[in-house]
Amino acid sequence: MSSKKKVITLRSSDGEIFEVEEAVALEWLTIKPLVESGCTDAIPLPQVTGNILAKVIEYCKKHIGASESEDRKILYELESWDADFIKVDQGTLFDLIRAADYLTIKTLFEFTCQTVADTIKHKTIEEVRHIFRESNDFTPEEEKEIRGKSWWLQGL
Amino acid sequence: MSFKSIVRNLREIKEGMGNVSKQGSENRSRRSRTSSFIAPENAGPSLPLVEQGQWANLPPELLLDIIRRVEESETAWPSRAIVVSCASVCTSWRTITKEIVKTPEQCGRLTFPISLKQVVVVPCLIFPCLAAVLSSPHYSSPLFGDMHYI
Repeated sequence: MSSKKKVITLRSSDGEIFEVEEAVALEWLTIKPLVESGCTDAIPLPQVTGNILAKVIEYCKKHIGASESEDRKILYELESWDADFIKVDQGTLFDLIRAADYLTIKTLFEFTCQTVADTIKHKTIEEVRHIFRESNDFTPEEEKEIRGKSWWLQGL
Repeated sequence: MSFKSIVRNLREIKEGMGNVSKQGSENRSRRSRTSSFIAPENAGPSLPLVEQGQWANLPPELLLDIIRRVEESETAWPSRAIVVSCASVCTSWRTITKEIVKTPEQCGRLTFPISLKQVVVVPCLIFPCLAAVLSSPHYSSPLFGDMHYI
C-alpha cells in the first residue's frame, strides 16, 4: 500500500520548489529532525539558491547508498561521476561548500573541501591570494623575514 | 591571543558572513533571502549586495578545515612546502596554519624551521659542536631560513 517512497518538499531562497526522497533528506542533518517529525509543508532553505540546491540534490541522489558500496565497479563509476560533478567554477564550488555546511551534509562537505584543498596545492601564493581575495597584509619586515630567507618560496 | 579570539576578530573584520555558523542565521539580512545568503547585514541600501561565490567571505572555520586538509595530505617534503605557502598568504592564513601544524613530537612531520630545532635536540646532546652552530645568532638554514617567525 505504502510502497510509494515518501517525498519531502524543499523551497530554495529564490522560491524554487524541489522534491526529494525522504531517504535523501534524512542525510541532511540540519533538516533531519523536521523530516523525522513528519513535516508535510515545504521546508524553507533560505540560505541556498535554487541552482545550488539542484546541484546538492543531484549529488546526494547519486551518492545515497552508493558511497557505502563495496563493489569496486560502482565506486570507480562514482569517483568518475564526482570528478565531472565538481567541474564547476569557483563561485559555484564556494556556494556548494556553504550549502553543505549549512545543511550539514557530511559527504558533500568533505568532498568539496577536499577539492578546494587539492586546488590550493597546485597554486602559487599569489594565485591563492587572488582566489580568496586576500591581500598581502604582512609588514615589509615580516615579508622579508618570510620570503627573504626562504628562497624556495619565491617560485611558489 | 587565543585562537578563538583571533577567529572572533576575523569574523568582525570580514564582512558578509551572516551565516558563519548555524547560530548566526538569525542575523541574516532580510534581502539575503532573495539574493544571497552571504549578504552583509550592515550593507546599506546604497551598497551592492555581496554576490554569491565570494571566497573572501569564507568563514574562518571553513578555511581552517581546508588548510587542515592540505596539511594532512602533504606529509613529506618537498610537497609539504605548500603548508609553508599557506602560512605566507596573509596574516590570517598564517595564524590558522600555525594553529594546525603540530610539533614533530606530536605528528612526526617537519614543517617549519622551528621543527628542525626541536628535532635536533638529541643529536645536539651527542654532538655539542652542532648545538653550538645551531644556537648561533648568525646561523640561518639555507633551506628553511625563517627560524623565528613561525
